[in-house]
Amino acid sequence: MQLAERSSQQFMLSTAAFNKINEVLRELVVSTRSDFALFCDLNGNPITHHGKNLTTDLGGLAALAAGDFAATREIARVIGERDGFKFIFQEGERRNIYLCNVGFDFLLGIIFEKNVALGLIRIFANKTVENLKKVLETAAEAENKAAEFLDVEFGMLLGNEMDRAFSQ
Amino acid sequence: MFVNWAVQEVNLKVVYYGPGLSGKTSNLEYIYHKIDPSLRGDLITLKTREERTLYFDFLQLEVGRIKGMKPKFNLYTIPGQVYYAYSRKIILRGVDGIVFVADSQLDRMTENLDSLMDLEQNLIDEGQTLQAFPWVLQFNKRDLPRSATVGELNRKLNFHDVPFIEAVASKGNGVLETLKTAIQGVVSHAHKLI
Repeated sequence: MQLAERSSQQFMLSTAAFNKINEVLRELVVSTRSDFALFCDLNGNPITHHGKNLTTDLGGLAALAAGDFAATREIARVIGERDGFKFIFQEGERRNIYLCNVGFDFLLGIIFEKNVALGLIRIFANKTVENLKKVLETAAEAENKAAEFLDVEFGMLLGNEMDRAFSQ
Repeated sequence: MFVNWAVQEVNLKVVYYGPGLSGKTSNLEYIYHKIDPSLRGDLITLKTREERTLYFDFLQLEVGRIKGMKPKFNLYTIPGQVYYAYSRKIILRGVDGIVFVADSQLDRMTENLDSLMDLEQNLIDEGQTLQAFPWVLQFNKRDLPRSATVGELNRKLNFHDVPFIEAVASKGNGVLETLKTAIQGVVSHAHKLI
């Protein structure tokens, strides 16, 4: 299934889509006995995750995963691999990580222990990607909903909050 | 901008751009040390053996909820050296606001201009322009001798009349003001778009 590239700089994810994505990740983790599944966008924003509490710094993990994937996509381009690589796999002492794209804008990361077969992860990752694409097709909330909070008052209050954070 | 309604979060991406050694990483390092640890993640730096930024630096900040939404700021730096062009293009994907960190020293003006032109081209590739995009100029290293005057820097670099802040990032002067100005610009720009 082809998922259209995001046309806007802004992306609003609806609550219904968020809940469905969580359910898809939960199924993946249970089916593969993985430790952790992360769903983020290729701009480095973590969207949601499921599994063991491996890190509190999800922002950092998502930024690095997205950077890693984007760099690998550029490597593919440089060597003339037009459609990019299908996934990235890193093997560790205790855990492995598998990263693959979901359409053009999103990324799925799976962290699993050494005793889980890579083939199993690949099969379930492919199935999960298709399920996530279906959810994402209808995921975007109407952007004008942002007008509910993103106004002049928001900007002013944000300035106050930043002053508070910076003065500590 | 990425808004996650389920968890009521709004994520904004701010990229620190500028020539090599202009002080982009110093900005993030100061913010990291100044902010309450409960409001920030780890400072992630991908450096070469010579302590130069290879790919990017990353720091996530958050502030208290506003109108029910939790703002999160994802701050990135780019590698300034000319030959890391691909890295810069990748990091600019989905950017909401830019801080251009210019080196105030007179003999660095060519590098400032080259980097600004590089930024403009990369923004055009992203479907944006410097004229219509929220960005601010930071005139860094104001403490060094042989610095250009603010008037000269504005004449040479600020051709879109964007907000500018004088700074000495290594000492923290002007760093938080720069970030606040950039984020206010992003919010005001986003408000205009919707």
